[in-house]
Amino acid sequence: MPALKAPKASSSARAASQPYAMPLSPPASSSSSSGSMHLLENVSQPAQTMYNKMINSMPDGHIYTQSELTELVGISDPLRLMGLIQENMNMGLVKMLHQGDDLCYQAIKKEDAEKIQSMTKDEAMVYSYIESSGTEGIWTKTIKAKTNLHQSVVQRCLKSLESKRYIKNIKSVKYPTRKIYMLASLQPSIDVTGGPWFTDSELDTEFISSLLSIVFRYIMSESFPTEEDRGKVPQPASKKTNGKVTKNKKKGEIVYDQLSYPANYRLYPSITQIHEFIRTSGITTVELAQSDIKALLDVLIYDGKIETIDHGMTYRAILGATVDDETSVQASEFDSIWSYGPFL
Amino acid sequence: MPQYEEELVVLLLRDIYGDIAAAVVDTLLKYGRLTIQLISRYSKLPISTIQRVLVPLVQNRFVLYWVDDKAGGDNATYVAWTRNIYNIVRSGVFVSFVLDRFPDTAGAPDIVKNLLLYGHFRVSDYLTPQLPSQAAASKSAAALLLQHKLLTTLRSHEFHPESDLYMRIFKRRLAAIPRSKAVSEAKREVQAHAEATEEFTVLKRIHDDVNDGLVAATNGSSNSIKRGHSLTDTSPSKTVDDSAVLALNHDKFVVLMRAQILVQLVSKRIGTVTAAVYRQVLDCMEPRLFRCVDNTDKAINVTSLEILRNLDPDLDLGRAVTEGSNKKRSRSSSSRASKRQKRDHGTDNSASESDESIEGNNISDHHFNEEDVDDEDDEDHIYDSAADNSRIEQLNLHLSMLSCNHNLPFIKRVGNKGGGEWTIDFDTLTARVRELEYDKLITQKQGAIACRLLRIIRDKGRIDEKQLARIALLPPKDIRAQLTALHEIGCLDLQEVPRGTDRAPSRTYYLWFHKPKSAYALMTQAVAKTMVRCYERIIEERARGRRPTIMTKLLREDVRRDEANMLTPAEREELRRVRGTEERFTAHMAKLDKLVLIFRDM
Repeated sequence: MPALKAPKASSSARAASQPYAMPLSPPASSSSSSGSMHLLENVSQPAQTMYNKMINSMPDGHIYTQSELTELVGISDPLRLMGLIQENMNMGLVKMLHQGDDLCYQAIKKEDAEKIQSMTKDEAMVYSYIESSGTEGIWTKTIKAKTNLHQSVVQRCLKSLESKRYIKNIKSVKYPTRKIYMLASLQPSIDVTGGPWFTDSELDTEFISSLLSIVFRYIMSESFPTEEDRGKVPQPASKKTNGKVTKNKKKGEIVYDQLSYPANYRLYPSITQIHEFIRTSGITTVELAQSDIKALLDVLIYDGKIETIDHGMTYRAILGATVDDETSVQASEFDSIWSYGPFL
Repeated sequence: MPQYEEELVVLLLRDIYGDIAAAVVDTLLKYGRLTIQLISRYSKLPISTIQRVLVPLVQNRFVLYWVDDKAGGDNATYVAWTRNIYNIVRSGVFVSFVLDRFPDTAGAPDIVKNLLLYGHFRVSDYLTPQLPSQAAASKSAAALLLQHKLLTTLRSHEFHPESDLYMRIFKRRLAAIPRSKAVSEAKREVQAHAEATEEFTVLKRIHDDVNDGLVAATNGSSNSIKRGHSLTDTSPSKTVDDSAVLALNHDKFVVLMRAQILVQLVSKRIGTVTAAVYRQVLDCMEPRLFRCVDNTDKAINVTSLEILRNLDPDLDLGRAVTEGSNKKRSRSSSSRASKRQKRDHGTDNSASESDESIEGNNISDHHFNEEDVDDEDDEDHIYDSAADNSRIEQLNLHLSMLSCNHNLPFIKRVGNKGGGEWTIDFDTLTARVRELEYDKLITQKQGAIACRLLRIIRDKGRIDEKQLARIALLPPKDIRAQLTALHEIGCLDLQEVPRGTDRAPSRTYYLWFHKPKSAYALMTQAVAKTMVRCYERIIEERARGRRPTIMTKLLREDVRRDEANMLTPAEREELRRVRGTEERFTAHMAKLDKLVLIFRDM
């Protein structure tokens, strides 16, 4: 019978599950056949009540401290309480966890407890580690290290668990050569799959480049005023085009055709605006978070196509940048050296 | 490794001054500092020939000499000055620059051409053989060029190498500090170095004086004209000192080229009107800018009023800037939920048609000026394009557009008097221009992906491949090829950070980083190599061409005088082709020279 405060195992500070403490007196009927009710039937009546109360009174996965349990079942004698807990633990219906320095308890669903009971000792251990890794998944080498089992044993357990469809194998994006396992029911975390840019663990370059050009076009349209924004001021009767200056120069005349926003213009698109635009345009079914949009914008900045105003508050396209890289390179090559420009 | 630069320099000399001059300079570049005997020994040329050939080289200051104080006069040592020989490449550009800038000054291009030929001359020597009318024109042209500092006077110390001058000053200063027990040797040297650097700087800046080479004019009209002369004044109250020795000032030329490059950049990045404004700013600063690097110790400020005074009155500043359509503003105001006040204006304006699409907003139809109605509530400036007193506000608008970009700080506001004080931080600006130019080169050479990677690495400092792939949103295998290519051309460098005590490649981190200075230096060498090739090609085409007959025919005097009649159409065609090739290569060399200017001289 475990003392009320068991000595700390060398696991992490947060509520880490210990490997399933093997029941002290394995019931004979554990290996096969039993339906879910059988497990429950193997414990005494008060233990059953306690278990049912634990399952029903709080939402799934709630972790009970000792005091909560006392309240729940109304038994203040710690010895008796412990006995009931122990019975449930023997059946695998209750799990003991660490929460900081204290011990606490979690009720396991009957189906899960069933599953565990039907496995071998090794399999159960492996399964518990995989379960503890949650949505991150766990590497085979780590399992081997933690369980201290032989490689072939681990392999055998994994194979049988996989055939029973309890766990699944996924491919990580960061370490493509590793085999990562996680519970079959869970979805892999973003970390592992790489986020919206990855399709089947492969970087979807076409998707990215099309998104980039869309974002760039949008920013370009918001960065420079069009002719209609200039407004129409009645021109004097002389047929002068916009501000063309006639200079007596031998070289060509400059056409002073400029239209820009002033320095304090604030309506350049911000990241929320761009995000909104992408969302409402329905270009993609994949959900993009603001951080993804930020990554796209950073790439555009590094491409030299846009720049940030106010250190990241808003973004503006660079004059002369084009969506297509080819044409921009050609355009920049045309750098006439013979004309000092009329700017002399 | 200035290997290619030296090759270029020798090539230039061989083409223009002959084989012997080239051989002498080649020897000097190979061995460093030599006396005539040593030059003769290493180049296997007789001493008299060398002496003869050294004359134009010293005149043009391609070779500097130094006579040691202690030894006798016979022991002069000679050093080749690569930078000045390189400037031959810029001679054509110099002449056409002068032609464009001072189109009405008759004597100016001739002065420059003669200086290119002779290296330097005394004013009186130049003026004597000319007719009086020509001489007057030349004098005023020289005065104008001196004022703009495109010409400078030469002092005798400028024929000596800088290191020797400095050592002489240093030794003198060291001797002047008395030895005493209190002050250690090291301290004496440090102090002597400090004083010597100061004196040397003063010596180097000796031409910064406004009246360098000029004296007061002796005609009567000068007394009524005020002392201060403006740059546009073609008949200055000062005139050239007859005894001054003139030479071309390449430092100032680089300053002017830099100004031109910056203005072109502005016109590409912001617009032509703002570029004209920036041109004016640089013009106002020009009298105080003497060289690109290490100008003066004080910052140079310009006021808005000064700029406005010199700005072309026809230039329409207002039309170039606009606040944006009503539609956009209403969208922003609905998001900000603040009512803005817009003042009514009398001018007719059809921009209010876009009012229709306002969604549930309380803003009523307003006419507003197409000029800069400010967004914020508190500052509402109303600009009227017709009135002139707001022109300075328009000007300030353009200037603030130049200063608002943190990535490219063309100008910086430093004060408020005179309508606004502005200064240009050339160091950061030119560093940024170099970055942009280098990016452009890498894009042309390696592609856009490589440029993206370079920019990321430049931003992040040191970064490993995986992180780079994550930020750039590119698959790691594609990146690796690009990175190694960039490594090969000297753009990137690798740093190894081992994880364990052994240096196994699988257990080390490899971080990529970019060092601008070394990258630029390697690139400049590549440019120098290209220039060598170009020039060799020019020489080849010019000397022999494809058909030797046409070139030899051109050597005849009568043919040269009257090409149209003396040559058959086929020959004329051939000539046009040959000349076209030469022009192409010369143009290419000028483009490369511009790169060298940006990376090395600016």
